[in-house]
Amino acid sequence: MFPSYYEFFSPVKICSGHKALNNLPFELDQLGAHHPILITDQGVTKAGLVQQVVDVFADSGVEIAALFDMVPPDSSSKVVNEVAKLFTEKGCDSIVAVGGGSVIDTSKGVNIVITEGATDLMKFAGAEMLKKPMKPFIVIPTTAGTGSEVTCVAVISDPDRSIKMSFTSNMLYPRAAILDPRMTLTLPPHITAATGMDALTHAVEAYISLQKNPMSDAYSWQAIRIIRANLMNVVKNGGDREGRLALANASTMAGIAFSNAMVGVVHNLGHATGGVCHVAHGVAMNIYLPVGLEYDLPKAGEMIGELLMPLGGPDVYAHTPAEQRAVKVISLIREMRDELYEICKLPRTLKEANVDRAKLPDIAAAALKDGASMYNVEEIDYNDALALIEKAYE
Amino acid sequence: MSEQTKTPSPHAELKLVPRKSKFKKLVVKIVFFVLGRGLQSASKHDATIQKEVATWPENALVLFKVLPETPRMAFAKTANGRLVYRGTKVADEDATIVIAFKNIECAYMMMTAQVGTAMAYSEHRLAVRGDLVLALSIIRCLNVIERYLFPTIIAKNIMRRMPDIPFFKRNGLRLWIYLLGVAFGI
Repeated sequence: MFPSYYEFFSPVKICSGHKALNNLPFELDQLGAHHPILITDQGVTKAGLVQQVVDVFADSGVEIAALFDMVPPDSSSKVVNEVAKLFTEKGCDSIVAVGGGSVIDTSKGVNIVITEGATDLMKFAGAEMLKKPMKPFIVIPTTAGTGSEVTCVAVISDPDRSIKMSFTSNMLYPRAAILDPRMTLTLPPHITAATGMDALTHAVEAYISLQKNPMSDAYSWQAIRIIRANLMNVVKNGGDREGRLALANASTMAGIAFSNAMVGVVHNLGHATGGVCHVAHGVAMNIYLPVGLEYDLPKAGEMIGELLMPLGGPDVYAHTPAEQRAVKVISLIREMRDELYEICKLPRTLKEANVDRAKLPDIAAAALKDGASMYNVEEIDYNDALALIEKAYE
Repeated sequence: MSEQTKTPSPHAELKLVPRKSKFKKLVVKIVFFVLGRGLQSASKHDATIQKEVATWPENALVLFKVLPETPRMAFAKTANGRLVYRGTKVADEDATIVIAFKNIECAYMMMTAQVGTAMAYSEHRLAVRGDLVLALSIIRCLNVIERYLFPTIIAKNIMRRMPDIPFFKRNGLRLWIYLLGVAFGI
């Protein structure tokens, strides 16, 4: 059914290719920025990726004015304030984020604090609270999964209140995202697998959400096809540069899809599980994806069935009766998970992820506070969430 | 008066006057009032709404409005955890959260049950300024009050799943809200 109304916005310039990183100084110059701060984490630094980024500035006329490489796995307002202080002290004029979701979200938070001249980041939590144009901001993802390089959302925790706050504004979009396979070559198999399943979940959930639209569908469709074609190969052979580049593109496309169509029950439960039990986001997506799709099956069966084409290919699609396609999609996803478990032990259940069974009610309660439920085709209340979490336990 | 306002617009001779929809504005004003008073009344009698409101910040002030300014309607959490209708004069800066319809057409569609809350939110027909967790809770309360205010045949078309309220309670409280709740807020 064609939506009666929809909006689609994707203002991030995508620079993708085997030497795309070398265009970073040019892109900054185009934005009138010549003294960026580099924001990253220890993992990225230890993998030697920061040095690769630094190298591209040789004889460029653009100078890195500051480096912050201590972003923790969960971005927090304290770290954001610390980085913002460094930005001001060193006279920086732009931000370059090199990392995964936490680094990118922290960088978005830094941009809020600097632009708004804020002392309390949390004052700007929520939707549409930002009005001023932000500092030039470029993202270089080092995982292929979060899609944060093309979204207008940041999730940052408030350590004083022990909660995660979300910030949503069109001002938060980066100006450019640079997809260079060199940035993901060193990812170990289990992280490649988890982030790949995260990207797959973005694409699938965007395709069946209440906010789906023809534009986001196109991005979802291609993202699913590319992930299916490349994920297993890349998990088995991390040095596959073509595959790495393809996955980076698929992740960004899935990011554009879900940024414009949002996600649903799988993310709803995944966010809650991450918050309560600190299960990595990609792992949580891998656990909940088939369970969530089964939950949505009565209302979204036709849409799920359509995904058999990009997920299974034309032969499988043609040989599967229309009424069985949705179930086939779910079984193919389960097969992918089994294969990933064989290769790198990516958990398929909460039990395999060492989640304490006693925490399940807490996860269900936390799910009620997550906005992803709003876009799911089916309503989700506490009892529904708990039943799904129980189902995903073992 | 500023210099800018003294200077006649170069397009003044066009005399293009937008037509206003007084009817739709009136309908939205009426439904806002019914919704505000209905929530005030239901918060005294419905356990689901009470449970949701208990999670809101103290003295939370919720403002519904049609952009850019009117119609508008506000309700607040009281000290005893109930809701009270606060009329049409609450300023944006006083509100804990602002739920704004982008234009009168969006508000009219939602207030006349042509589109449900989840779908309106998904279709960007309303913008939320404030804490999204609070917004989710408000939307759950709206689902409950809409279940009381609208007959089943309408409610089932605008909700993903209708709140499970027993027949006698639903119709009894519906009668109460329409006869006494809206008029007196009890």
